[in-house]
Amino acid sequence: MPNAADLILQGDERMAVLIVALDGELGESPDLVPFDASDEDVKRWATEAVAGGSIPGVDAQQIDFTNYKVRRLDAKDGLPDRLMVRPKTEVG
Amino acid sequence: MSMSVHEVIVLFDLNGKAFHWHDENAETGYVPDSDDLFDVIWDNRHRFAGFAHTHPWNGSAAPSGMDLTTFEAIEKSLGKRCLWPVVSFTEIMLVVRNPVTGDFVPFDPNYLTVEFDWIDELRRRSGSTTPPRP
Repeated sequence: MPNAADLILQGDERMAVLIVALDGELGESPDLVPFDASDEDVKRWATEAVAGGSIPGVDAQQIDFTNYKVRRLDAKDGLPDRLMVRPKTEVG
Repeated sequence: MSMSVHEVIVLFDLNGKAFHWHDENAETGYVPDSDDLFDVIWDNRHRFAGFAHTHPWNGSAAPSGMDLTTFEAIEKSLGKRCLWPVVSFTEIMLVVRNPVTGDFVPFDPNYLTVEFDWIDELRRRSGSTTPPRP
């Protein structure tokens, strides 16, 4: 996962809070990630953050986010830009 | 919006009662991923017991591979097992995850302790013209 402080200090890149919906919790990573990162990168960072136990409220564990979606939420109502990793809902 | 044969989802609570219909009349052959549907599931996660969806034809109600990976992801996200009825116009299969093997397997409806009173409505919304069973 990129060092959020370095990224912020180095430029104007749009940064976002990384949120994962897991085990009944919406856990927020303390590290910011680039808002425009690819879905694959976001899922990889989420996997690393969960495995490393760095998301408060979510137990450290190995998880494959293949069947999850990355939802991009613009800042609003005082909330920052957010990237939410949530389960897919498609059926067919 | 014209009625066509399509897949519909209904969310039900711990008492088996329907509390949300997800019916976009999509002509995609499946129900596409939806932020709105996820929001409803998440906002109701404490009473959410599962969702049923239609396979809009006469015959097999077995879940697809897409269905199973979605069931697994939602359960992992909610941190609990759910019940996943798949409803064709003539059959119903209740699907649950075996907590030992992790596989999704059929669940004997005789062990259900709640009654689903929305099956006929689910089929009707999906475009079934098969008369409801008595």
